[in-house]
Amino acid sequence: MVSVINTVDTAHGDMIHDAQMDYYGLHLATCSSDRTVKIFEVKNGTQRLLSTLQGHEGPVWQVAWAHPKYDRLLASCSYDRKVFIWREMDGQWAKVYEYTDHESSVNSVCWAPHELGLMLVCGSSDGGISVLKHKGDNQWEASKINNAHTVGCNAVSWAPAVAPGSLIEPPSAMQQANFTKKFVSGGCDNLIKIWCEKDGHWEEEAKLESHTDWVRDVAWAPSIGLPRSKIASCSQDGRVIIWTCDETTGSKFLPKVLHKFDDVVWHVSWSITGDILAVSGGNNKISLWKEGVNGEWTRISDVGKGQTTNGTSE
Amino acid sequence: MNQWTTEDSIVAQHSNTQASAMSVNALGDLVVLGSRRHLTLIELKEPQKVVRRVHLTNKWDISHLFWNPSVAHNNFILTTYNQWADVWRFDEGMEKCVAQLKGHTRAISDADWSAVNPNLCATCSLDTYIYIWDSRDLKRHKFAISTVSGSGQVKWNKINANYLSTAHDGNIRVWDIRNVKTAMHYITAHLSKINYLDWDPNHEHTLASASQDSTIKLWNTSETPRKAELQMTFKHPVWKLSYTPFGSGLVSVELANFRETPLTLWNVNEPDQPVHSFVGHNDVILGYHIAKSKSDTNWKLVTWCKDQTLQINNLDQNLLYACGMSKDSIDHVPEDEEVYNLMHDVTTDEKEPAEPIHPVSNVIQSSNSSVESNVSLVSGSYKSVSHEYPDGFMDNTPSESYQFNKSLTISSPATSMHSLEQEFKLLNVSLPNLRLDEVDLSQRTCSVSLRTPVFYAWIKISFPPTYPHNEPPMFLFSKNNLSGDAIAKLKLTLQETAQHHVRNNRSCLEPCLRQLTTQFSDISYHSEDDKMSEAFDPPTFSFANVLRNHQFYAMPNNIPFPRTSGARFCSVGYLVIFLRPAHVRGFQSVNEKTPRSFSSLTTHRNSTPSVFPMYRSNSSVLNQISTSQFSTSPNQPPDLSVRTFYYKQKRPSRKMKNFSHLPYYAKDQEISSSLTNYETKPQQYAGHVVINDLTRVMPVSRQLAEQYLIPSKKDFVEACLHNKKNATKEEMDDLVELWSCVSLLPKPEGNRPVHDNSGPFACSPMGKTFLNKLIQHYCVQYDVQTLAMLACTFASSLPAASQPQSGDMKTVTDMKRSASYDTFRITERNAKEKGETGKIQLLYKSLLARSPPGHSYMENARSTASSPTEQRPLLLEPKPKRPIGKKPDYRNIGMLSAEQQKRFDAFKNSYSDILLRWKLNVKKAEIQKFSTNSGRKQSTLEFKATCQSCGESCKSTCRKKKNIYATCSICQLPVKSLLVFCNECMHGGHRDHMIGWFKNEKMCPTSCGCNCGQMFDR
Repeated sequence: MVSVINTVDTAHGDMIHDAQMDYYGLHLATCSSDRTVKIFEVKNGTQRLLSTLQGHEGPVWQVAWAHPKYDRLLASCSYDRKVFIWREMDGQWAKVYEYTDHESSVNSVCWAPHELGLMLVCGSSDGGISVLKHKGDNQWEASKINNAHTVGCNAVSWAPAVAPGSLIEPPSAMQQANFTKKFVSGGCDNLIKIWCEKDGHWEEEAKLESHTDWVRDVAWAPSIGLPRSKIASCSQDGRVIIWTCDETTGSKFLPKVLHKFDDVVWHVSWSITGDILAVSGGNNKISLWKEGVNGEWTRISDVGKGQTTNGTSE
Repeated sequence: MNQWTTEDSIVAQHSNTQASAMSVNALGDLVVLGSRRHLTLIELKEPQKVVRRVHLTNKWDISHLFWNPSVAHNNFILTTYNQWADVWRFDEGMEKCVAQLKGHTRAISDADWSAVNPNLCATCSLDTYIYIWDSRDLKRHKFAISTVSGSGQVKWNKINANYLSTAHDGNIRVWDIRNVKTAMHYITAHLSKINYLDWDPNHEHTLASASQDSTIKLWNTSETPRKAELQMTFKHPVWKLSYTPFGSGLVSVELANFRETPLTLWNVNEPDQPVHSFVGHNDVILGYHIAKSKSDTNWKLVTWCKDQTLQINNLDQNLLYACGMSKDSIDHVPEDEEVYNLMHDVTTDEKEPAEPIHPVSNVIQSSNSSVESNVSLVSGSYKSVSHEYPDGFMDNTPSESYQFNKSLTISSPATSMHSLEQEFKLLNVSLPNLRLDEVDLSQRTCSVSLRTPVFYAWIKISFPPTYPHNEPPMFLFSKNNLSGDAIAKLKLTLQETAQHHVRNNRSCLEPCLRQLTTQFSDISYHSEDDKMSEAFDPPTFSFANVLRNHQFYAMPNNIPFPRTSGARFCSVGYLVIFLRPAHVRGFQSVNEKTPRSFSSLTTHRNSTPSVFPMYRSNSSVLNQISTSQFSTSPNQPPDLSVRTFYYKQKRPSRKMKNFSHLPYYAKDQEISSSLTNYETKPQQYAGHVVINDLTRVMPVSRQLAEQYLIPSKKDFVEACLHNKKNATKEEMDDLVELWSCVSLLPKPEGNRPVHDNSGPFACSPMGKTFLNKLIQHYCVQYDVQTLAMLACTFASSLPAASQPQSGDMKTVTDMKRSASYDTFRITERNAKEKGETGKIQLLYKSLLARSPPGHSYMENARSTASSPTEQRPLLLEPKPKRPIGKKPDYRNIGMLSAEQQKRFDAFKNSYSDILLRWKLNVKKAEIQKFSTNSGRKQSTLEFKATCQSCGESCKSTCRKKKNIYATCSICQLPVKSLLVFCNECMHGGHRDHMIGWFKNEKMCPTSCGCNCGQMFDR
């Protein structure tokens, strides 16, 4: 069911905090406490180190690839309170932009869906969230939401680009073809907040309250055209919650606890179709959860210690 | 040696209380006894009588009982039992349990109220946490100190509200609660367990410890003590000790044989001989207290014994003298007490208005509150204090601590001298490259030296008498090897910083020094890096700048603990997994959870003796260039690496050497010096990244995507069967069935209204209803592939609309635009384009005028010839509905309901995205042809209007854009190489892609209806 296609020895000098592949699944970026970001070309079971990006002065927490239509861009965020944007030109990676307006560790970066333009959101332990918009010519315009989460913001994730109005509405010619810009964030105030851009300002659209400890990660599920939005969140309290908002019945997100783990849960990640969720946490184990036809979630596989096991639910 | 005489003691038997703990209140008139069932209040005047008895419902015995030691808060009682603690409030005739303090996971081993800040209390437990609570907000602990080993004792300093000492087996840790990450001092005090700790009420830095190893030791904690100042050896383990509230006395209780528990009074100044030994207790002393009420003339020793007797003994005046109390002070005791009370009142007055959740104001009492101290106070549950700026940086939040400080300063007689001394004392200079060489209080000067591998400088700072009242200190650069330019810049910065602070009568030494080190490192860095270019950033004064270097090391509690394992879905079916290497056991045991915040790492780290000495045996490099710190600074910069958390038990400490605490320019040297250690086994820290292929679990299949054909009317059945064959190959049984069903359905064009009024096929049960069911089914399965295929297969071949209403050219342009996902146009051709569309529109209008609306789709055959075009209805004004049957509503003819068009487009777009990630560009374009793009942001699709970098819908007005590229109609990526486009419709793209497309196709890939193939053939 799950097959290993590549095992990459990153040779990082310290622990790895994030690893992501680009849009096509051809390049892998990893970041680590050794303050570097490494980029690998992954092909046919082999890997080749393309570049080691140095410049951060602290552990690098997260990396994010931009959509390839904007060229090969990578964003990284670090404990050193900085966000770097790296770009590949003729096989050479170089830092093209440095954002330094956060006053504490930047914990999360996420590129907006490409339809919205080149835009990056960053969440920081100073409680603020910054949205960086590319204005052309490597000019970036930052708008900052101060104190978005008291104590600190731990994770940010964009909503998929869906035109305003319901998917089940009849199309209308009058329809303005602008996408609503929305993202979700989670923080140390145990809250999940949904932010929406209105008239150029970011406004808090909703506040989701259910976790009893710091929210460590949030992930908005990709949309395949179903009239509902899903957000997965995980927390220090060990719980993973799926928030579902059904457009047909209302616009409120309703929580459903997927599972309560014994230890902190750090990561949630959706598959591209939005039906499988990968969960990982402090216990060094990965579990995969799939939504069944009845809307129930079942654990389909556990992946641990680099080995895969093909087991069905517990 | 005097002996206890039973005749001058009052003994009261309270045999029914079964109390295990006792405490006397601050006024010295009430005793509280705690048992499992009751809290018993007894007045010291009439010890026989029970004043009040409060019933408890505890399951556990009260282990500790503490009356708040301040007069102003003397109605608060803290009780602990098992892992919980209660705060009680005893008001006139009313007692109430204010809160239960929850949080500890093992039994609370000790608790203490702060004598200086009566709102604070601390609890400690063997669960390795020390919690500090604020009595104004007890819902959560205010902050937590995490240690590796559990602590058995916690005691507040009696003079400085910031200090706290804890005992961990034989070790003592002294904490500054402004920086709870790392202990201020770490004292290896005793060979065996420490039973009791107490702070000297008269000397801020004196701490006494009593231990199982039968000794009492006194420590001077003004710097990390290596040796005890005083050691007193006993015959038996010392169970308890406490300072007397008068003189320099010390009371100790030995753990001797049964019924032989001597309570001994000492004068610490003459430790050779005990002052007095109290015997006469019949059983183990559970608690004792020296108290004195206002009405009393004598101090009393109140003891509670296991045999449930309360003894009250008056302490003889001679004993007090023997304890070092002067006669004067005895005579003036009442006054003293008044002062004492007053002090507390002042304190409370100052504090009461403060919000209970403002930790800074509660904690920093008299401070030139340094940035760092503010920062380090952060606790998880509180407002992010880490970003609280030092005074004056933020106009809207005047710091309470400062106000307090001011009032203190003003009221004190030797104002400026005092405040300067205070400032020096509180100076927390653990800054890189900086050393405080000399402090001369009488001359009001101090000198500091800065040293990096390249530069050095000595700076003398003199403080004018009125400093800090609008009078900045003077900075004099004595010896240095800096350029004049650099000095001028440094001076400017210093003056700016100083001025900024003293303008508000605030002390500025520390901010100045911080600024100085930042600048200094900058200079060194720049000159080292590129000596050729002299230019370095002009010293801009910004708070961020001040913070940059040093706060880097101050690790606030709110940074989450780093993730060391994770899984990310990437691209289509890849799951990228990184885990901690298998050989890592982790620091945590099975029961211990991963900590929440990164800062707990430091606590974990520094509290392990095996790691700690590493700093002591620093390499020569470190000593040379790194700061030789002011005093023995406890604030070693924390190790930033999370690996210490997981590796510390596994690896010897040497391998964990971390360089984060070095200034960055020194790092390389340091690293290279120990390169062997660092790089020989790099993979030991970083696990492998494993890329898994999960496409088997996914509802989409790449094999199918490669093979699928979209049935068109020409080869409808063939294509369906082809798809069915492929589904069989991939063993997708349900899809096999699906495609054989679909092959039986009428072709799209067979779906026309039938003229005998029987309605289109779509209205039959096998029509729309059936298809809707199918779609619903695959929605639940998240099978976007099948959904998109169905949506394309049955995309209605209807024309867009009844008729465009407005004569505006835009309508048609719009339509064209909407049809194309990847349209691009070239600006120069725009005019021509407009002319053309104008013509087209005219033609279109005339066609529409001739045909009834219901049949307009037939006229539009040109665009539907080979591909069912979009059916985006430009229904500016919907036609009145006609009864079905007479003139079939064209919107219902299609197999797919037009209402859901947007949804079908979403399927197609989503599937297109997947195809694109698979680099199946041609397949993607085929799908995209069917997309109507309703709701897609059109501006991104137009060449002239699209900036490739920002994607903003800047019309042609955007001038800044340089990276303007055409977008390929096939792969949707910018065309940077050879561009091929059709002259008619202006669609095109990468040369290779276009050639590939037109090998098999005639029509434009964007489904604009243009027969570009001809053009390409030419």
